[in-house]
Parts: sequence; structure tokens; C-alpha cells
Amino acid sequence: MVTSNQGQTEAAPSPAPAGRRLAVDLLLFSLPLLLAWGGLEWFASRIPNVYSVKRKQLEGLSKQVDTLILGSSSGYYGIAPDQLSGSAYNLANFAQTLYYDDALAERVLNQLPKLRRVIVCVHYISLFCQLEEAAPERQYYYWHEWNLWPRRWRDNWDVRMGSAIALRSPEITVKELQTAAHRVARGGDWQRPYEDPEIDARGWGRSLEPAPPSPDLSEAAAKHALRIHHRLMHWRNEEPNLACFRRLLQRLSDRGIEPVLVVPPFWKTYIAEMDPAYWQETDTQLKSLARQYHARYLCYRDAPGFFPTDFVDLQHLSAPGAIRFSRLLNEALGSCPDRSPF
Amino acid sequence: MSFLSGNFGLFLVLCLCLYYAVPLGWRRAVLLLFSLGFYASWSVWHTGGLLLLVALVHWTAGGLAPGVVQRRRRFCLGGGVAALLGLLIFFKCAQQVVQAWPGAAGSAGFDLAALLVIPLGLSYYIFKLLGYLLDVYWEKVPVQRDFLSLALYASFFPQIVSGPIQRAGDFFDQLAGLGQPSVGQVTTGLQRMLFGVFKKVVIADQLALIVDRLFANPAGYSSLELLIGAYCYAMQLYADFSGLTDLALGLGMLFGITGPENFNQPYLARNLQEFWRRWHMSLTSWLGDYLFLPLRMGLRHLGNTGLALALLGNMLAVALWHGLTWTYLIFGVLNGVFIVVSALTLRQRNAFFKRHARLQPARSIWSPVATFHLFVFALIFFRAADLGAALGYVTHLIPGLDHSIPATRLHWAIPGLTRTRFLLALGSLALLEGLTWFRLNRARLDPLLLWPRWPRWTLYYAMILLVFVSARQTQSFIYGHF
Repeated sequence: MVTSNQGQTEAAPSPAPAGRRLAVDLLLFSLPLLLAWGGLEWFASRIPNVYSVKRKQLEGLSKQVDTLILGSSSGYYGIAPDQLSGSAYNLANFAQTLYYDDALAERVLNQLPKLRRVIVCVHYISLFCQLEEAAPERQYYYWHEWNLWPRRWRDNWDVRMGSAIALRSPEITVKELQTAAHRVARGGDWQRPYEDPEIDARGWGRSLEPAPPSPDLSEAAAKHALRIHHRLMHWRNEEPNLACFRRLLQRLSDRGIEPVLVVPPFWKTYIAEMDPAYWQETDTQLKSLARQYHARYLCYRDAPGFFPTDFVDLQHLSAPGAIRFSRLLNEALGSCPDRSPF
Repeated sequence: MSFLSGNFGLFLVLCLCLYYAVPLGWRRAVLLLFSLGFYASWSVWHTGGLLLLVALVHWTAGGLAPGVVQRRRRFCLGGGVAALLGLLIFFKCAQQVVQAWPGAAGSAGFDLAALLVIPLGLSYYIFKLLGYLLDVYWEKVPVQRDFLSLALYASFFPQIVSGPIQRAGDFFDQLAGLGQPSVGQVTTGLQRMLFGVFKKVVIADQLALIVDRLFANPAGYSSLELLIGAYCYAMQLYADFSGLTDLALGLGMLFGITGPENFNQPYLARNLQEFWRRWHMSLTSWLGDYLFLPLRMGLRHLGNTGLALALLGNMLAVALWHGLTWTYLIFGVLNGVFIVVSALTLRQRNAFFKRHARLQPARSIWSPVATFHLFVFALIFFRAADLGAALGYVTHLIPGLDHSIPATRLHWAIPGLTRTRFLLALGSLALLEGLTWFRLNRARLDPLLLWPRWPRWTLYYAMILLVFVSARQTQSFIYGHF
């Protein structure tokens, strides 16, 4: 059979046998692909990730943790638990939204008998952003590792709920497979313990240490970053996020746990490009929530004393910056309160 | 639901199973159902809006039928065209307003931005429906009485995201003869889908790593690096858009519907007029038929000035179709000016090279190179986030102008992009273009389909493997935003 440019068949045999042959060909062609996919799927499901590591770490520390840190990457990189008094654990994560802060709190509160204080790190975009719009693939990690459903029902139908390769992106799976093959070739184990230097034993992300020699903190970079952020920020998300926030604060209040609302430092060019309407609204809402739930609201947005080397980019602190900020925070917070602070 | 998502894979398998399982007479309905389902996965409201729009066009087209009084026909055409163009312009303007004042576009509980978000593929289906109305008015196609067919024409899921803009007559003819697609059509369709995904993932997405970085901060790079960045964007855009077209055409072929080609090796064009006949062909031919020709005829009494105005008007329409921004406007003006100069000097240039025949070989090399560079320059405005960013890029591109970095420095560290991947992307593009050139100019047949099975399958497996190891989570198609 010869196929022409336009996909027309010349001198084709009768359609039925040709169709059957095509079906058999397709099946034969797909078979090795399906086998390879299945193998990789099995392998990928065993690769640790930042979510599984944090879950295991927290399970291991559950008997001693008295302070829990929630929030997005600004909290993940920005607050070093070992700089806080007592025993703190950083459960913040990349792009983690208030929906997941609340859901995680619900999941872990009962497992942390000594918990006295929860620090919620609130970013400029926190009230207006949803994970399914900012980094959709991350919501499936919460399902795989914490059994937390995505916020929208239709995301439950995504294949990433069931496929580790689709979730991790094939690139990462294949890279991990290469590393594992090298390890086996050197006589090591197929499956390695998680050794990513990003996460320290208390969940703090300090992979950005040392900071790049010259992080781009220019006005142009701020404009670029905020253009992306503003694309993800929507007023329609404010009410659902506030509802989650209230639920979280009520949950803490019911258990006598002190909530602390913290806005981390940002670099000045980023602050200058913030939309006043979004920031005013965030500030007003945080003040109102703090009043309503007897929470402390600590805003370090424009805090002095931070230098370019304290940032890895406009909105994330480097390791030295995070240590400086965490010490400041610790001074402001004082030691952990007793079980019933109010 | 993106074409590259796992969910789309499942959706497609389900759609194909049902499509081939039902009797021939039901297939249009199945296709329409899945097309609407696909669109609803982006927005249920916009799907309702699309159906309303189709209903409006269906009703309007009834008033354009040949037997109707001419005055009523004109009224219906004017109303239909105004409504469709008005809707397109409204959303394009609203998009700019929302982007310019993101925080002001709402307050607690009310989100203006969400209401004004531009429906996916609006530019494509508006042009399809506009073309249909004009064709009915000019009696090129009969009125489509079947609402299902018209709705399928507007919403056909392989084409709704980013075209190609298929003409109504061509689509309805194929729909009328919808039967069992030939085996050749299906295999060609699958092959084109693979090529499309390959172009997107292995070529465009890799080059995007360079382009995104350079366009975000041109001040941090040397003139040479920015020049390479501009070339990379030209390659990225071509691979991305032609890849998306391959995917759309391949998908259509699986259902027995062959769409129009969008590209014909544009970077080999010898002048800008030829370039625009080979780039985004379904849009440029649409505008050529429905805008340029009427304009040219209306202005022919002005001679060369009329030609220049028609060309300029046409290019502005091409540019502003992408969005109502200063950067697109300048992209259109630049291309318009280049085309006008090229068209008005063509005769003299031909005469010059006729007199100096020994320069002809040099011309055949120089012309595509110059054409490519003119387009690359205009593309800087197309790609930049705003006018300031575009001017910043151009300023830093010129050696010695407001730049502290040595002009010829070439020192890159692009996270995620190795030298092998970069060369692989460029090499793959050259190889695919070579195959296309061979098909178009020599064999008239897809050379791959002439290969024996095992070498051919080996190549396909290699392509799939490369797609697999190159795939990233997020890189939407550039032309999926228009």
C-alpha cells in the first residue's frame, strides 16, 4: 500500500482487512510502549518527593513539635525552624495555598499533641491565588501523599491522580531512572533514601544556599515577576481563600493553639510594583482576621535590615536571609505559649 | 484540557472508540458532542456562549440566502459581521484593560477579570463564522440549514484552540461525505500528531528556555546573546505553531476531516510577500480573500498608493488579530512597511538582477536570509511583554548602545537546557524541514511512509523516547492564547 501526500490511499485493498491490519499494527506498535510505561510507572511511584519527605519527617517528629509553619514557598524558604525557640517544623511548600494549609492542619493537628503555635506565612498573592491555576500538578502530590482531594471536583478526574509519570513529568522520572541505574551499576540499592539537600530535618528549604552571586532584583525583574503573579491573582479567589483561612483559624482556636499571621520580607523593587488594591485588601483582611481570632499579625513586608544577599530572588529569602528573618520572628514571638493562651 | 495532557489522551481514545462504533449517520453528532465537551472543559459558560453565537449566525445566514430581497441580505450581513467583529474587538479590548489594571478589575466577591477573560479560540471561530456569512452572501457556499453541522464547523475540537481556519465550503463538503477514513488518512494523521508533539516538546519547549530568559531581562545579556535569542524565538514560534497545526491536522484526519495547511517552509521565502503566503496560511489567505482583495479593488484607482494602503491594511489586520496592543501594532506596521517596500521595488530589483545575471546565485541565497532577518526583527515586538520591553531588547541588541556587557560575549548558563538538547532541538528542526522540503519538492510523497516498517518504527520510537525525556509540565502553545 502506498500513501499519498494528502493521506489518500492508492490501490488500497478493501477497507475491512486494511482496517484490521492497521489495528493489529497499532497494537504491535503500542505494546513495547505500554510495557515501558508500566515499568516506569512502578518505578516512579517509589521516588521520594518533597511532599513524601515532609510527611515522613513530621510523622517522626510528631511527639515533640510545638510550632508548625504553614504557607507557600516564601515560608518554606523564609522560616528556619531551628532558629525558633522550642521544637518547630516547617510544613510550608511551593505554591501551597490556604486551602491546603487548612486541609493539612486538619490532617495533622490531632497527631501533634504538643502543638502550641501555628505560624501562617502569608504572601502578597495568597488571598487571590489557587493552586489549580498556579501549579496544578502540585495538587496531585497532596492527594498521593496526604490523601487530600483537589479543591475543584473536576480535577479529581485528572489522570495525574492515578499516574506517577504523568504527575512527575516524564523528564524527572527518566532522570531518576538513570540515577538509579548508575547506583545499581556501582553496587548500590535500587531505591535510595531521599538525600535532597533542599529540605533540612525540620522541613526548611535551604537549597538556595549559597545565594547566586547576583540575584536579579532589578525593577525589570520585579515587573516581570509581578506580571506573572498578577496573571494568577483573581478577586474571585478571595472569598474561598478567606473561608479556608477562617476555617483554619477556627480549628486552631478550638484547640487552644496560638495562630500567628506573618507577612515575610520582600525586596523593595517587588514591593514598589505591587498593586496597591491587592496589598491593601490583604493587609485589611489580615488585621481583621487577627482581631477576630485573637491572632498575632506580624508584617515584615518592608522590614529594614535586609540586604541583596539576603534574597535569592525578589520574594524568597536566601539561607542567611531566612536565618536573620527567623531570629527577628523569634524575638517578636517569644517562647511558645502554654496550651491555652487565651 | 490541553492537547498534551494525559486527560486529552483518554478523551481522544474515548471519542475515537465511540466515533467508530456508531453508525455513519450518528458520527457528526458524536463529534459535536465531544467538541462541546472539550470546549466545556475550559469553560462551560463559554461553551454556552459559543452555541448562542452559532445560533445567531445560523439565523443570520437564513437572511442571506440567494432568494431573499437584496436590502434584507445586506442588512443581515452587516448585522452579522458587526456582531461578530464587535464581540472579537470587545474581548480583545477588555483583555488589555484587565491586564493594565489587574487589581482594579474587581473587589471582594466581584471579579470583573473573570467575566472578561477571552474565550479560548475566539479569534479562530469568529473568523470561521465571518467567512461563512460572507461566503453565503457572495453565494460561494449554500446556506447550511443543518444547525448541527454549523455548530460542528465552529466547535470542531482539533481546530478550535488554534485553527487552522478552515473554509466553510471545504468543511461542509467533507462533512457531507463523512465515511470511513482511509487507512492512509489515519496513518498520516497519527504520524503528523507525533511530528506535532515532537516539534512542540523537543524543539519549541527547549528553545523557550533561552527565549524566556533573554526576553525577561535583556539588559543582562550581550548583543550576540540577544541576537541568538531572537533567532531562537523565530525557531521556537515556528516549531510551536507548526507543531500545533500538525497536531490539529493529524487529529482531524483520524475523523476523516482534512484541514488546510498553515505553513509551507516560510523561512525559505525570498521576500516578505512570499513569506506571508507561506506563514499562517489559513489566516493570511482568509484575510487575503475577505479583506485585501476588496480593499485592493476599492483602492485600485490610486495605483501604487492604493496597493501600499491595501498591503498595509492587510498586515495591520494580521497583527491586530493577535491582540490590540502596541507591540502587535508595531509588529504589523513593520511587516506592512517591509512588504510595501518589497512590493514596490520588486520590478526594479528584478530588472537589476536581469542586467547582472552573475549576481543571481548570490540573490537566491541573500533573499531568504534578508527576509528571515526582517521577520526576526519584527518578531522582537511580537514576543516582548510590552513596548518598553521590546525597545529595551532592541536597544541592547545594537552593539555599543547603552550596554556595559561586551557585545560578543557568549556565556550562557540556561537552567534545564544542556548543549546537547539545544543542538538536538536545532538538528531535529533541520531534519524535519529537510523531510518536508523533500516531500514538497521531490517525491510528492511522504518519504517516511515509503520506508520499510522496522526502520520507520525505529524512528517513531526514537521520536517518542525524545518526547518522553524532554517533556516538561507547563509550556502552553503560543498560538493557543489567541
